[in-house]
Amino acid sequence: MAPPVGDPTWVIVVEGDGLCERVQEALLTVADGSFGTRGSREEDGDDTRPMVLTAGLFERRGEVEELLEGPSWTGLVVPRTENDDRRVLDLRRGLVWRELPTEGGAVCTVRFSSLARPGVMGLRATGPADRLRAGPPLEPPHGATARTDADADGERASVVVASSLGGGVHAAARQHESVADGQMRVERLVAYVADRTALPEETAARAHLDAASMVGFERLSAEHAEAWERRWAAADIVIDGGGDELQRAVRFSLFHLMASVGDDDATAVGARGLTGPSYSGHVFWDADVYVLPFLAATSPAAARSMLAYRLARLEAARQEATARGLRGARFPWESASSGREVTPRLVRHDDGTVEPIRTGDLEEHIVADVAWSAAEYAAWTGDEAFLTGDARPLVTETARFWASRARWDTRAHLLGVIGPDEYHEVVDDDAYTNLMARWNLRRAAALERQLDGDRDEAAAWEALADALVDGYDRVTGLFEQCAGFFDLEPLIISEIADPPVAADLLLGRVRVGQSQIIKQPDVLMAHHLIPTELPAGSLAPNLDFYLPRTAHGSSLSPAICASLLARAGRPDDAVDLFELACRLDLDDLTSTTAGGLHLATMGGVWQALVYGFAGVRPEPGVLRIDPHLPTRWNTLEINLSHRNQRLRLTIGHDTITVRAPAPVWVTVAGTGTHGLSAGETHFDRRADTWERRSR
Amino acid sequence: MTTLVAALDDSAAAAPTLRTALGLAELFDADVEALHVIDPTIESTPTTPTTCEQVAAQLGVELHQRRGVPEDEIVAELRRGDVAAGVLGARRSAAGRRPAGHTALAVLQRAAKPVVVVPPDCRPPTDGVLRRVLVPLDGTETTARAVEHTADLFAGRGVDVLALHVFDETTVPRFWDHPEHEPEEFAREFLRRYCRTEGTHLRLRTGDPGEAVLEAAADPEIDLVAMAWSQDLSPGHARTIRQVLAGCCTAMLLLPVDQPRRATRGTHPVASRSPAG
Repeated sequence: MAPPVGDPTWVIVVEGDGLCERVQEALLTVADGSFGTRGSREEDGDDTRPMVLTAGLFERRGEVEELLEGPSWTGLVVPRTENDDRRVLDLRRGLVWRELPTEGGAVCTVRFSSLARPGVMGLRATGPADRLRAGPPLEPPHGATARTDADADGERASVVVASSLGGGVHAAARQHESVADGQMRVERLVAYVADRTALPEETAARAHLDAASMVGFERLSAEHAEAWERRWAAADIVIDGGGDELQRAVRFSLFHLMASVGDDDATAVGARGLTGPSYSGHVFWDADVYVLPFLAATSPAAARSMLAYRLARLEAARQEATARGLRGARFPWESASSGREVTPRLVRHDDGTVEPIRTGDLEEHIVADVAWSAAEYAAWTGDEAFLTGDARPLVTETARFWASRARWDTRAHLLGVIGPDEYHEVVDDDAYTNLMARWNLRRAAALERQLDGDRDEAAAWEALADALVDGYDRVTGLFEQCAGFFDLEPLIISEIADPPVAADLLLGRVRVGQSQIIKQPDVLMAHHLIPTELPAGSLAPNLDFYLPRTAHGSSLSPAICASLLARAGRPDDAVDLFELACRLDLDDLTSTTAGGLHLATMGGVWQALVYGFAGVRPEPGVLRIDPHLPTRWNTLEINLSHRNQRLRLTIGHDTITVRAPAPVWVTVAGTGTHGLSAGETHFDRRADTWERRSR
Repeated sequence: MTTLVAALDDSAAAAPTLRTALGLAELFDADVEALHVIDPTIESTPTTPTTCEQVAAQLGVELHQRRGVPEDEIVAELRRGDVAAGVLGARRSAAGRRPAGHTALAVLQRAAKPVVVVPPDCRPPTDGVLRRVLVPLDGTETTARAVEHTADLFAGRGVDVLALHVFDETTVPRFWDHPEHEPEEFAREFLRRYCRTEGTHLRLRTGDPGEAVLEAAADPEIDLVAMAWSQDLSPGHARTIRQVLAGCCTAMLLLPVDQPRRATRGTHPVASRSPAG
C-alpha cells in the first residue's frame, strides 16, 4: 500500500493541532457500517478521545442508554507528538495514514476498518526500532466491565466488554513485530464480534480473526479498497466547476454516510453514526429522513437494514401508542435499543433551573417520517414487495396512529405538537406534521386498497386526510406554519443576527417562541419531502416568506434550504447554504464535531445535490430529472441506482446524459416520460424545454 | 518565599484589601507585605495612626510606608523578583470612581504581574479561606493561556474553579440542535480547549458579557473573579473589564495578556484546505 498522491479531492489532510484534536478524531473515523473507530493518534495523550463504537449496541448508564464503547485496537508505543504529525484520510480507499517525525526518522502508520469484512481491522506501522513498539494490541475502554486475555509475548490478546443491557462485544487481536535494518514493523489484525442481547461467544471473534489472518494484511487491505471502489462507483458525485474544496467536502460527506450503515442487520443509525458518543447514539428522524434516501439510492441493502431497525421496534411503537390511549404505532422521537422513548424528560441547567424537554412527548411527526422513509425506499428501489409485505405496518400502523390522534370539529386537527421548528413548542396544527400525517394517511389508504385490505378504514383515512387543517391560503399561496403563527411578532432573522445563528440562545426561548423566527424548515420541509402533495407553485411564495425567518439554528437546515432554493430555480442563491452544510464538520461550525459528525447534514448534502440541484426524484416507475445548476458549476455527475438499475447522470446547463445498463424510464423537466434504451441517452435544452437528442 | 504586595490607602478599601491578600497568601504559602505610599503632593505625614496603619495592626501585618507617586511605587514593588502579585483597592469608597480609582487603573495598566483589585464593599470570606473562583473565558486561546496557570494553581489548592462563557451576538454558536444534548457536548469540548484545569465546571450564559460576569460574581459563593485582559483601557477596548471593575463587589484578579482576541462565529478549518502532497 502506498499513501495517496495526486487528486486532492479524495483526501482529508489533518496536520497537528492540539486544540482541535478531538474534532480531527471524528473526521478521521474509519468504519465498516458495524464498527467505527475514531481517528485518534496511536499514542496516549491528554487530547485524545479514542473510541470504538458498535452500531446498535447500547448499554445503560444511569437513566441513559448510550452506545457501548468497545476495546481500542489502535494503540502503539511511539514518542508523544508535539502536534507536528500529518494524518490523511484516504476517502477513496477508506484508509487513515499518519506520518510522525521522530529523531531517528518518521514513524508511519496506516489503518483500516474492513468494508469487505465488517468487524476486521488492520494496522501497520513502520519506524525506527528505538522509536516504535507494538504495545498491547487491545485496550479495554476506561471504566468498562471487561475481561482481558493476552499471551506472554503480547502477540495475541482478546477483550470482552459486557453491556449492562445483556449484550457485549468481543475483540480478538494478533500482531507481529519484526526488525530489519533498524526499522521496526508492526502488523496487527483485529476481529470484533458483537451481540446486542448476549455476550458473544469468544470463539466467534477468534474464528473471525483466524479467517482474516489466513488472508493476510495485504490481501485484506486490497479487498477493503476494492469494496470501497465498488461503493464509490455506486455513489460518487462529481461537481465540475465547484472547485477542489467543495468536491472534497462532498466526498467527505458521502464517505461517512457509506461507512456508518451496514447492510446485513437491523442497523440503528444514531445522529452521529459511529463517529462519536454525542447524542448517546440515539436514533432520530435524522436516520429516516436525512440518511436513508442516500442509502436507498446507492446501497439499498443498507437502507433496508435501517428500516429493519424500525420494524423490529414496531411492537414497542404499538405499545407506546396504546399507553397513550391511541391506536396504531407511535415511534419514539429518540430511540435506542428497545424502541421505547428515550428522550430525556428534562434538562437541569447550571443555575439550578429545570427545563422540561417536550420533544419526546410532542414531536410526533417522527411517526409519519418513518412511514415516509419506507415509501422512499420503495420508490428508489422498486421494492414494492417490501412495502406491501414486511414494511406494510410502517405505513398502515402509523396511519392508524394519526387517525386516533386527530381531533375533529368541522375539520380535523392535530393539537399540541412540536414540528421540526422546535422554537415553537406545543402548537396546534403544525403544517409539517399535518401535511406529513395527511400524506401518511393517503399512502396507507392507497396501500390498503391495493392489497384489498380494510376499505372502510382506508376510506376513513382518506376522509381524515382531506379534513386535516393545513393552514394553506390559496390567495397568498402561503401555508401558516401553525395556528396563530402569522399573529406572532414578524421578526426576520437579519434583524437579529447573520444566519446561521442559534436564535434561541441569543433571544431566549420565550422571546423566540413569540416571534416568527424559526429554527429550520417546517412548511418548507414538507415541500422538500412531499412536493407532489403540495399545491403547484406554492414553493416560491413559502420560500420567500419563511427563508428570511429561518435562523438555521439546526444543523439540519442549510442543506435542505439549499435544495429548495435550487428546486425553486434559484441555484446561485443556494450555493452559500450548500457550501455551509458541506463545511459543517470540516470547519467544526457547530463547535460539537468533537462528539461526532453530523450525519443528517451529510445526508442533506446528498439531497441538496440530487433532489435540489439535479432535480432527480424517484416517482412511480420513473425517475424525474429537473436540474437547476449554479452558474459557476459546469456539470454535476451523479451515480445512483433506481429500481435496481445503476445509473450515471451527467447534468450540464444545456445537456443531460443518462447512462444506464438496461432500459429505464425517465422524465426530464416535465417533458413527458421517455423509455431509454441501455447505454447513453442525451437530452438538450431548447429554450425553456428539454429535447431528447435523436440517435 | 513568594510575596504578595498589598497596597493600602487610608480608605474603606484597606481592610478588605489586606484581608484578601492574607487569604491568598494563606492559600499559596506566600508572605504579605503591606505598603502605604504617601503622595507628598496631596498628603502630609500623618500625626495620628491612619486607617491603613490601624488595619495592618489589626491584622498583624507590618506596614511599609513610602513617599512618592503611588502608582510608580506600587509598580516598582511589583517588579521585584519575589513578588508574585499585587493586591490593591479598587477605589476609596463604595461611591468612588468608576470603573476604578486613578491609582488602581494606573497600576493595572502598567503592572506586568497579576493584580487583585478589591472593592471597598467587598466581603472577603470571613474565615479567610477562598473556596470558589470564577474564571470568565471568551473562547480564545489567548485568554485561555493567560488564565490556565492561575486556574491550575487555585484548583491545586482545593479551590473550585467555575468557568463562565457568555454568548453574545458575536460568540453565540451558529447551531444548537437540541438543548437536552448540545450543552453537555459543547461544554466538554470548550473546557478541553480553553480550561483544562481538573474539576472545572462551565457555566454558559447569554447576554452582555460584562453584565453576565457581574451577575455570576454576585453569587455569595464566588470569592474571586479571575480575568485576563490586555491592559489597554483606550476607547473601544476592555469593555467587559471596565464593566466588571465598575460593578463587581468581589475581588478581581486581573491577569495581563498580550493581545486578547474576541472569539467569533467565524470558521475554524480543522482539516487542511491545501492540496495533499
